[in-house]
Amino acid sequence: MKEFLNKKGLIIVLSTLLLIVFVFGGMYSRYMTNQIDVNEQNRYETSLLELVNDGVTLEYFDAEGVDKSYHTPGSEDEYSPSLLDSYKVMDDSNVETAVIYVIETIGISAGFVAAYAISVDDDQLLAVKVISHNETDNQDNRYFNRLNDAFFNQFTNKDLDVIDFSVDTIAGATLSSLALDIGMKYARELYAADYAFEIINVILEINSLNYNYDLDTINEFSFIAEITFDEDDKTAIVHLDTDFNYIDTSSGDEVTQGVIDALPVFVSKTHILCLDVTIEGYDETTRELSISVNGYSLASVKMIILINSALDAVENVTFISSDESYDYSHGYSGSGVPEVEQGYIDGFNSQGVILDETAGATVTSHAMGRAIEWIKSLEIALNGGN
Amino acid sequence: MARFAGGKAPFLRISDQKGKNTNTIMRDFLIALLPVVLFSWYKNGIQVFLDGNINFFEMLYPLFLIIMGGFLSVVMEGIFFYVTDKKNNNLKSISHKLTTSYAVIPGIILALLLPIYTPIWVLMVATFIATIIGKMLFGGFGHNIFNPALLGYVIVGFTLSGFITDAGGVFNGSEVLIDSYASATPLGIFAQFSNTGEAFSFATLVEPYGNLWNFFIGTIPGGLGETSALAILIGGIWLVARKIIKWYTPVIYIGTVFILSWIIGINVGESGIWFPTYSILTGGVMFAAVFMITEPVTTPTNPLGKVVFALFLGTLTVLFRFVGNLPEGVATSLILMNIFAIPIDTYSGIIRTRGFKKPGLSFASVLFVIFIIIVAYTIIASVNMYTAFLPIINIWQVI
Repeated sequence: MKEFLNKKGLIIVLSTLLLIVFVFGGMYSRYMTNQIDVNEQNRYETSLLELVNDGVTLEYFDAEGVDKSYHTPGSEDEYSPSLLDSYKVMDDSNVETAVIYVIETIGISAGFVAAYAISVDDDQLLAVKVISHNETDNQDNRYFNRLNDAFFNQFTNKDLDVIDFSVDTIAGATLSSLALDIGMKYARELYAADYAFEIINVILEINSLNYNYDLDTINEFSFIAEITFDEDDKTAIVHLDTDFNYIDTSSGDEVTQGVIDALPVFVSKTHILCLDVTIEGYDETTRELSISVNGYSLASVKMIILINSALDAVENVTFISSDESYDYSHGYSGSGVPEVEQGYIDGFNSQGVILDETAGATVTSHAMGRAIEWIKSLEIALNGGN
Repeated sequence: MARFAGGKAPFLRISDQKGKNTNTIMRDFLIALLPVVLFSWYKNGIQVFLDGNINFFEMLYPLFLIIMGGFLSVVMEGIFFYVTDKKNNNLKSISHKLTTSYAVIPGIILALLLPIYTPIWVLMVATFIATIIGKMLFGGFGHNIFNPALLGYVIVGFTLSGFITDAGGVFNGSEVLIDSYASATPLGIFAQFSNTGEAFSFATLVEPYGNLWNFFIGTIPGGLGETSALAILIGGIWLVARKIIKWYTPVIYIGTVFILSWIIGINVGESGIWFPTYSILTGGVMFAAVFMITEPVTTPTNPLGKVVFALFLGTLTVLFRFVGNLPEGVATSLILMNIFAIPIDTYSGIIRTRGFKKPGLSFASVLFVIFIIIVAYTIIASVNMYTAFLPIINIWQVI
């Protein structure tokens, strides 16, 4: 044995050293590689915890899951968002304070992953965080990068028990906005399934919507809508104010409170009627009807329509004020505001026509065109439909 | 005969100097590597730990990997000595051989070239190639043709790089979190532009990593020991001060890469000094300049030979980087030049002693022509250079 060790001891030691390095060094390497995922998971979970103020720890749980389809942004197809992770968020007393759903939706591309934190105490969406995406973001202030703080603030402390559970999209990043909007709605469905939360569900359909051109009642309500509601398809004709709030029922079945609450949301999202003109008020003594129309901003151009003494025609239209501005760098070459507005009004007063749009003042032109169309509709209504 | 042997070699002037022998040269070499080793550990371990992105145990890994490089090299050489010399396979004899073989240096250099997440088994394979195949099978220290560490690095780079990437690759625990890096090293980004033919700029090549100062300090992604030009320069200054290496070898090499990169930059519309600076501060240019092309065994030993070697190496580095598909270029060009080290050394020695007469003149002429051809080809073939020449060609046709 001694002789063997004398002869072979050195090679055994050297080989053993190699073996030790191979085994333990290999384990060390493997540990390092595994730690990449562990560290990434830790960072991921820490970033999720930041969504909940009093969150201390996360506990993974299996969510019930909901099969719900949504329109793929920019397409007619439908898809179901994927739930990737679900965590309960515990506070420092190890009491559940919130739940986080990590959901994959579709924006301009598939793979839009975001976390949605919901307070289990208040039934509120606390915040969202985009985890990863394949959206276009290689240009400053373009596409995905347009989703600014103001956009994300819409998700902060947002009540789940509202009918209009959606966010305003950002122009230039519409599809990315919709990815988060759909994710948020899907998170609410998941929350409802996991926590027995009841989502307000109103069955309501707007069949028709028209402006009220009747000068006798125009100050009482601005719109007349024909609706179908409830599970047994009740119908009614209702009157609405300028903000689409319910005023009264003209005819039909009795409208429930849920439908009354839902009307402003449903009407504002309908595309049956162009809703850019707002009726400001009618003065019976002077026969002056004030209206405004949406241009660059809401109700930015104001005008007065003088009705004739027989109350069956428009005598003339007078420009009052405008908040518009023209784009001289994009081809506008005329005078300043209200050149375009006045032009449209003069065109109507003198010949009853709607002018073509003016280069460099396209938005204002379209607004005034819609206003003149509205006035023509009013005139037809005043004249008994002729 | 060994071109660089253990003990005192009569054909080497450095080791003839008082107080200088191969032992002191290798000791100084190890000292010169120290700043690089320490910076590498700091950047990939300590700083990442301080950032809170890794734990203490993970922090030690870069240092462990570098030490293991040297350790494995020594153990493998020991086993080789044991197996090949049955008469002297006792501890004393092998220890003496290991002392005069300087096994630890190629192992450390090899580890410094590799990415931080290199698995140990890959390091073992690389060390085996470097030490056993690249060095011992050629006859051991002083007999090898190729730089052992470089051979191990290149072969592993060509064959096992996928395993390194799968294990975590080149980015340390803090670098993976930086979005602007986009999972690419500076040369990786450059390769993307090279392959697509798109125009590059300071904003696309440098700004994702901050500024050129970061490149100089070394806080950019890259192999363990090749990112910090500052640490490498400190080591280089030590070696020059100790008269271990000649200052002009790295200067000519870096200068060649710098000037050719500048010319290419000008011809693609980037006339700023940033581009040649970026070019010398990325990849292994600085590391090779100080620690590899000054290595006495696999590079020419006489001054003229060193100059010729550095000029060719610089040109080939740029050629491989800008014309070929190899974004790094340094390792491949150096391996190629290792083959020509002996003829360059021989003929440059003849020219030094006899002047420009046959056969040295013929050799010099051939070398000169080859050099001009490579330089011209590199410049013309690099990024849109041909189109830059078109106006001149058109004028010539009109005349």
